[in-house]
Amino acid sequence: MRDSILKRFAIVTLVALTLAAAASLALSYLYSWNETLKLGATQTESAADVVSYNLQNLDEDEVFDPDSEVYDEMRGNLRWVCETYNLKYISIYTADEGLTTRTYYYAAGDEDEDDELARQYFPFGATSDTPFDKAEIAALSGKVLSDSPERIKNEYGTTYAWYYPLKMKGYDRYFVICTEFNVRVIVTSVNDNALSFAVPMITILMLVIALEILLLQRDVVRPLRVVSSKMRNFIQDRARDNTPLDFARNDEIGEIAESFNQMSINIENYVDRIQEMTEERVASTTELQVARRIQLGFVPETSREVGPGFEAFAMFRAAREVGGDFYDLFIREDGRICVVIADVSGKGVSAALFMAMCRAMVHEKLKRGVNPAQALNEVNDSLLANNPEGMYVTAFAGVYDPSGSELCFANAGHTKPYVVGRGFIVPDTGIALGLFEDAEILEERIKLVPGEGIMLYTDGATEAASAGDKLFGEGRLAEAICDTHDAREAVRTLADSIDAFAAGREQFDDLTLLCLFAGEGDVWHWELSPEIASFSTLRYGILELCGNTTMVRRAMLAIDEAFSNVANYSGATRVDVWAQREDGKLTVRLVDDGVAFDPLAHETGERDFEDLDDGGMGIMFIRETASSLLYERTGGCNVFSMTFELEEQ
Amino acid sequence: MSIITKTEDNTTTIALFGWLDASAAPKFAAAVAAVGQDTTKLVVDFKELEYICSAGLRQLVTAHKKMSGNLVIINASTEVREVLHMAGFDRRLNIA
Repeated sequence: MRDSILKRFAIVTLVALTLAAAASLALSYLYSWNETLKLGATQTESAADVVSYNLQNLDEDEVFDPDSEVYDEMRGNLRWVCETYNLKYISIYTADEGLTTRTYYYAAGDEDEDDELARQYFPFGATSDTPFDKAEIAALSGKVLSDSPERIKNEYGTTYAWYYPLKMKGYDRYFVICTEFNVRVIVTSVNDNALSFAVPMITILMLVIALEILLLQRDVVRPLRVVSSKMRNFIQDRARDNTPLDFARNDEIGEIAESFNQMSINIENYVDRIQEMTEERVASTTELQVARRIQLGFVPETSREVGPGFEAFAMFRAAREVGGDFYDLFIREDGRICVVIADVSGKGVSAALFMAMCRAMVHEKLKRGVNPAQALNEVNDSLLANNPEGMYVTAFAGVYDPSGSELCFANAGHTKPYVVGRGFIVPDTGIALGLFEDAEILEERIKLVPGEGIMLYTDGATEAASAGDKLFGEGRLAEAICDTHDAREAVRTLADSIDAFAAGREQFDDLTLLCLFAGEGDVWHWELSPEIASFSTLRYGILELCGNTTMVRRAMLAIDEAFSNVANYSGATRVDVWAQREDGKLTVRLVDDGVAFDPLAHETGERDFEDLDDGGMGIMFIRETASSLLYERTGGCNVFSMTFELEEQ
Repeated sequence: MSIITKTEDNTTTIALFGWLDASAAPKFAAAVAAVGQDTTKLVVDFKELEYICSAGLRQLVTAHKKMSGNLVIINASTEVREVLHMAGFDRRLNIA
């Protein structure tokens, strides 16, 4: 159960009320006490005056003679005084010079006290040596201290005593009239006063408070509960109860109801809007994911091409779902390797669309055999013809011939390549495509010696920023890869190095790297027509390259078979064969533009001897003799690579 | 590759010289096809054969079927025998 405001209010009020009552009681008690003591002083003074007057008018010889009639009459008088002035006790006495002993002459009490106290304990001539009060001493010297009565408390009860001096004829010294005011009268009067003041006050207060609590309950607590339960329902299921609050009031509670109604309308609008936005976001995220998959379909995150005389590796990492960078790496029908790297202005979906178009155009031209410079110039013309958004792209395109170890390339405003084993090369800067007519991209050539590799990159590499806002830069790029030995190692090392440098920062720009290494050793290339008769050319070439040994003849079984397949079944218009001898190994790669055919996917299994004239042994020979095999369908070509050991194990 | 075909009585001998590769296989096929009806036994002499490819092997199957099994392979070098073995031919062909 929750704490109620009412409960707290009631407790606080009760405590305050109790304190107030106690304080008022105390105050009224003090007041009454003072009033009563004043009354005591007046009464006792009057009594003393009466007594003094009577005594002084009596016969001086008989007045202090206990056996005389006057004495008895006087005592009776004293008793009357007690009754009349509410005195409990009255006595007349004197003291010796040293103030040690009192000697009593008269003592009388009210009806209750007279017999016991006055007659028995203080008969005429009785003495007492209790210590003297200062008012008493004052009276003995003729003065009155009426403001300070002495409080006397003994086995007979509590009284307040006032002392008055009495001068008698024939006596030098003063007598004392001791009048003891009846404290019961005081207490009764005080209590009566206090109660008569406090009780009505407390009653009124209680009534007021009860009324307040009822009003609070009706006007504040109950409406607040309604608001609270309304809020809870609103939060749990805002559709269920949408009637507005109406207390029909013009006070703070009415204001709360109005605010609540306004708030619930606003919240409903916000929630609707948020729901809409979330749905839109989910939809666009899903579409972006699809776009990403499509993009990665033609620009895979990594890609590798390897063959006689070269090895190439590329990676692409978009900063967002889709990127504006791209690379292209494929083997052309003639066996040459095409490499393209480019960076489209802008990022995100627009860049990705533009990039897809650019990549397709460059790819198609290079594949057709157009040289890189001409390809880029043509792409520039196409972009200018229709480019409403004024986008542009920097690009570097090259075609590598492994047999001559030569890269024929063209640069359109792209970052300058780094050659592992040499340093940055500075091609003609060219100009980004899509900006100006007559881009006049130039064709250039570079020969790579074995072990050299060319690294192409986008500015996502050199402009990667560290947590301290430094840029990765060309120096770090060169430092990272100057000691690498193959394309995959170079790309991975560079990417790791950039990641380590930019650790703690979100990747800002797309990152694309493409590296191509020239292989060790000679690369031989034959461009053949796809017919069986051409095989002897290849055979003589291979024998010339490797010598006529048992192992070479074994390898020839596989090469023979692979070539026969292309010649007999592929429908290719040409077949390019690349061969490289390196480290006691022979690698042969056949590239043909025929129908897609993966020899490794066509296992024939055991066949009857009688059926072997239809073939079926070839793939077995290939598998038996080659140490590694790789089939790829790339750039519209079948690329089949076989590696053989040339030395007997 | 060159081929010399000799026929004595009902036995025909086909001697192969050099490389029986894909481009040479059609020649061997022609030689097998030329073997006459009256030949009852076919001898294939591999004495001077350096290399045999799968297309060549297929022609051996064709010849084997044509001769209804009356086919003998003679003088095969170790290397050629190994290829025949790899293809499982040594189990079905008469290799002297």
